[in-house]
Amino acid sequence: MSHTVLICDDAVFMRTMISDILAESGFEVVGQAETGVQAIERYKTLRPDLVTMDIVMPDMGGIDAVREITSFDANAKILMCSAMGQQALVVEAIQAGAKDFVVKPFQPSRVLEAVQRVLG
Amino acid sequence: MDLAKYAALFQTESREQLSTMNVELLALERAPTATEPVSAVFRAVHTMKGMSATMGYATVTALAHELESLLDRVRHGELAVDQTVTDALFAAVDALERAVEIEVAGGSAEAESAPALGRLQALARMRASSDAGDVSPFTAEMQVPTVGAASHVTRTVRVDLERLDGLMNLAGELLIARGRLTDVAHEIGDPALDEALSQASRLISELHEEIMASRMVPVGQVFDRFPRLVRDAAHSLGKEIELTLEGREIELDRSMLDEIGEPIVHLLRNAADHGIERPEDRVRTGKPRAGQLTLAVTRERQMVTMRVEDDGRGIDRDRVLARARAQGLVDATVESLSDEELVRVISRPGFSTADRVTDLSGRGVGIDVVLTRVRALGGAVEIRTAPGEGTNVTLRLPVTLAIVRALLARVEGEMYAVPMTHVHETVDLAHHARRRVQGRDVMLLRDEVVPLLQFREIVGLPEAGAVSVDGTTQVIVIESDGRRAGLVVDEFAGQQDIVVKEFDGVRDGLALFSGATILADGVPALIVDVGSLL
Repeated sequence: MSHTVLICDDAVFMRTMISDILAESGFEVVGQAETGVQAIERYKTLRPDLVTMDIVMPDMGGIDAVREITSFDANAKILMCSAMGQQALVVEAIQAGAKDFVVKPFQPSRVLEAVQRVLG
Repeated sequence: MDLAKYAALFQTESREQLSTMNVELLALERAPTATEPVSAVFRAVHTMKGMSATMGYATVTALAHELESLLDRVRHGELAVDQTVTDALFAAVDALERAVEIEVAGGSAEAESAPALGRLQALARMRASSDAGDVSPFTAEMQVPTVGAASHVTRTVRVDLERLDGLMNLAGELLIARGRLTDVAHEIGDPALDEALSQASRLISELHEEIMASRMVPVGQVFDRFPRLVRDAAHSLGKEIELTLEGREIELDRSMLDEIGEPIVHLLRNAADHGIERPEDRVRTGKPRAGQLTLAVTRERQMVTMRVEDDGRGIDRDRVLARARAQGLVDATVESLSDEELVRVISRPGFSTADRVTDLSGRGVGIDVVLTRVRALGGAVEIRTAPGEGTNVTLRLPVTLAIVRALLARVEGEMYAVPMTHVHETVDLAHHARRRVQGRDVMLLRDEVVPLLQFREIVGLPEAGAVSVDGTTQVIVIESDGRRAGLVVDEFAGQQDIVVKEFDGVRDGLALFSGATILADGVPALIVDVGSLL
């Protein structure tokens, strides 16, 4: 069975692109969220195998969302998607419970590698 | 990965982010110590940086990166927001906007963006504000505090407007086909057929309504850029203007919204340029320094009202009168202008009282442009002005362009449609007295003298005595902006809901007609632009 994915990013552009990359490699994108609050809600209902999480989002940022999700599901597999120059935030996200990260601009091969690492 | 297919998505979303940046920068300019606008602009810039880097748009990415760095310093209290900073931020957002369009189109925006980029870098090098010692007012974190309640979530898909136009056209054709079917069924007179048809008919109506609803967008999508526009206009004129936007959530058909944007811009610029006085003049007359400009949108059933109101000096009647006399628009003996005459004069094509051509208006493209456009859209304009108190221009528009109830008339075998919004009544000339007044054909309608227009003459057909087959003369009394005329036609052909189809070239030359339609029996008809006849 293919792995299910929840994509969290405030930009439709980014969600579409990540969704395309993952779908082409046989993942099943089961949901999308554009704010941290939505990400938590959708995670609770969808229980996806994998979450891709943007750091900067309105409403609630990605790091707080990671903290919240891992507080009720310690096994959540979350991949952070950060922009250049956010190293400090990436470290914070990993401490909050994220499993790995990729840096924008995305290269499909990098994204897929990271996803494989997270899913172990 | 093929990036080209993401370019359109990038462009659409970038425009949204740019609009957000403008809105938030205006908020920041009004309240330079506020932290939320800074965070909001930062997020928008950040999102754009991520997208453009992915697309490989170097200049957009570079600009966004510098903007982000500068905003970061503001967030951390290392740089105080003053006019220099907001001006640089606005300029950078403008440069960003141009760079997006250029790079999406495949060009290089590097040279063009260099000045804005330089300005940002220079500011970024500036020393921290001198009093950043104790408690800095800028303590906003990048992440906005969590909102307790779950945000309102709507599920949406993006659909190309062309698709929606296509659907709309099909639904329109379906309505026409239904009309034809109803005619045929009426002739056959089979109850089973009638019942089936009435069911299909209801479904077609529902389908049509659903499609109409899917085309509705909040006016804010276009109007949100106006605060920025008014700000820039005020700056270049040395004025202070506060624009209040009301009803930005009111929904309007997308194509109607696209059409009405330009006239509204025109009215706002007029108000900024001619209406609102300089701050020192305002203070002298006991008004607050900043002029109040309001754009208020309200919905009343099938109509949307847009009101542009300023508290400026009002329209200068004496100057309008002098100019009107000079241009021969009114009789030289006229001493003063009534409200109605004033509106008629200023809405004449090419009329302007501006002393010199400014950046904004006074190019002789006056309010007539607004009137023509609004009338073509099936709407009406009302202007009220009081000296020293301000001007109020109200536009009334149908919610959608697409379907209009029309009176059909036949002239020399051709069908013409007159929108019912402009039909006052229909009369038979045989029952009314005809006179010639000042060389013009008129009729007496109760106590009123109504000029007669021979439709044959207007469309360039030979005079046929304007007498129809049964020896009577049919007149449609048309009305627009309080003016009336009797349109003499050969024959009435009933009323119908018509689907308006624009045709090319309407705006140059063929001002008589605002569009075309296909009637229920498949016959084409031209739609008369009543406003242009009066």
